[in-house]
Amino acid sequence: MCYVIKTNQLTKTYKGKEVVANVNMKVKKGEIYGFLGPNGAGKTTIMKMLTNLVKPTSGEIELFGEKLTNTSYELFKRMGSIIEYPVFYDRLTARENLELHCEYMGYYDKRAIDSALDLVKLKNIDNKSVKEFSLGMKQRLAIARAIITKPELLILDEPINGLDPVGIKELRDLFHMLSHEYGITMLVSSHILGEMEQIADTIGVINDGKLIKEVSMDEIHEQNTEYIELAVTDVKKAFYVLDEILHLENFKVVDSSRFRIYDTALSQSEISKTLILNGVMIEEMNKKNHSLEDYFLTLLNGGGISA
Amino acid sequence: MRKLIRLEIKKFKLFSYLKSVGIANAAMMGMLCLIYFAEKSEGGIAFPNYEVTFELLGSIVRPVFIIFAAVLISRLIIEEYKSKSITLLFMYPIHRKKLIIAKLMIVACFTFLAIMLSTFFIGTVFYLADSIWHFVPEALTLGQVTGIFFDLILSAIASAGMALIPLYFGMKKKSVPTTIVSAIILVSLTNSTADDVDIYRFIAIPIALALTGCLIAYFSFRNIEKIDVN
Repeated sequence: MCYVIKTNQLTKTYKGKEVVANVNMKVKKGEIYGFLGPNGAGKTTIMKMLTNLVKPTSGEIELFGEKLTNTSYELFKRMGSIIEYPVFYDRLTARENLELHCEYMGYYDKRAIDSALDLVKLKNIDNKSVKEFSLGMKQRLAIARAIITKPELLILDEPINGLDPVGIKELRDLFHMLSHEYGITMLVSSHILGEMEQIADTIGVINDGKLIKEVSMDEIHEQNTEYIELAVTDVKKAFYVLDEILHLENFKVVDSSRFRIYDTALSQSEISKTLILNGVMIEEMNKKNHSLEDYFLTLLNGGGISA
Repeated sequence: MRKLIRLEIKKFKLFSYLKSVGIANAAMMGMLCLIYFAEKSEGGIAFPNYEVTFELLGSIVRPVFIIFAAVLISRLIIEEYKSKSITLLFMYPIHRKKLIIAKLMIVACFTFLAIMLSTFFIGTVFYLADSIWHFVPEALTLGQVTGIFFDLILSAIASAGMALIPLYFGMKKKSVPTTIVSAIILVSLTNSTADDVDIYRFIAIPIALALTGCLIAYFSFRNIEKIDVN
């Protein structure tokens, strides 16, 4: 298997505190790798180490099969990135910023600027300095800057921050397009689960500096289970009905008024009918999918599904 | 390297600083007038000859542009750190040392040229004014011109090197005020003519100052490839 990013026992300590600890991550060529974790989990630090901005305390990084060293500048020609938040030379216009970027990268295709701005749907910005941009516009411009040189690897730290729902959808489509049509490998971080679920092919869950799990979305989907969530007024009575009358085996009490029924033998209407006939008032009943959120929370809590 | 310098100039629109240089020149001329009238009101002669005049002019021009250089250092380096745009710069496929050296070359060249040209410009205006109003008792001789010119080049080189010293202090805390204050302290230490001893007169001193400046600047970014950028 060909890995674009591979880290080996990557560790970073700040003042004796391990911010990133023994991370072994592998990003395959052509995939979208989602970095998922709460704020302060170490996502940005890892990304900074991948771009040489922060030096690892111990451990190694391999990019495109080459070991990353202090002077491996050539590798950066093949990468595009946004780290932390989009930074620009505020006094310049968007176009001037992109032109500068191209010059520094040693990339001289003038049409690339227009096509990149087009891809991220930034329009009517010619006479504005970046200072006047909203966060969403800056985010788009940063993505334009990252993709303008057609890199093989994109490292995007929280790229959907500050975007409206329409913008998020557009970017999601853009990411899929870049991945499928150009074969660009992407490392995208976010703490927004729903988005990750839709964007990523593989997800790396990180918490407290440790990579807890690296799992492909396909695997998660396989593990997905459906369940019925039920809110009732009288839990004791409902428990009795579910247990003794319906003979359900796989269900659990979530909190003082809620059940989750994992048994699929009985349909929703049958359960509700029996409950009502036995005098249990149903306040709410939903069929739910075990989403990435549950999976993620499970991993973070290191325990059962109970939230 | 030329390309990097060109890009820096484009990025920070450095040519817009020419206006400030013009204003500084006007202010320095005003200063000379002030000195002239102040001395006159006390019955003294401000400019007995051209050598003294240019010594005085030098002690006005040098501090102005060393502090000006500190402003440039703040703009080109310290603020790049503060606004985090340095992370952008350091992710380019270019050696970090080269990037910083390009910036420092702009600062040093600017200081040298600004001192040379400003002294030349103000000196010329002064000479023309003198040829109309005759306020300098001693006439300018060719020997004086070469002497003045030689001193000027030396002191401009020394200042260009010295102008880099504030970088060291500014980089410690990545602070603009520190950079500029250290430049002000620097010029007040090296530029005192109060006891009529101009340290720029001894050749060794300007050269030593220039070298010290370069060395200190080098120390402030010696490890730049190895340290974290935050």
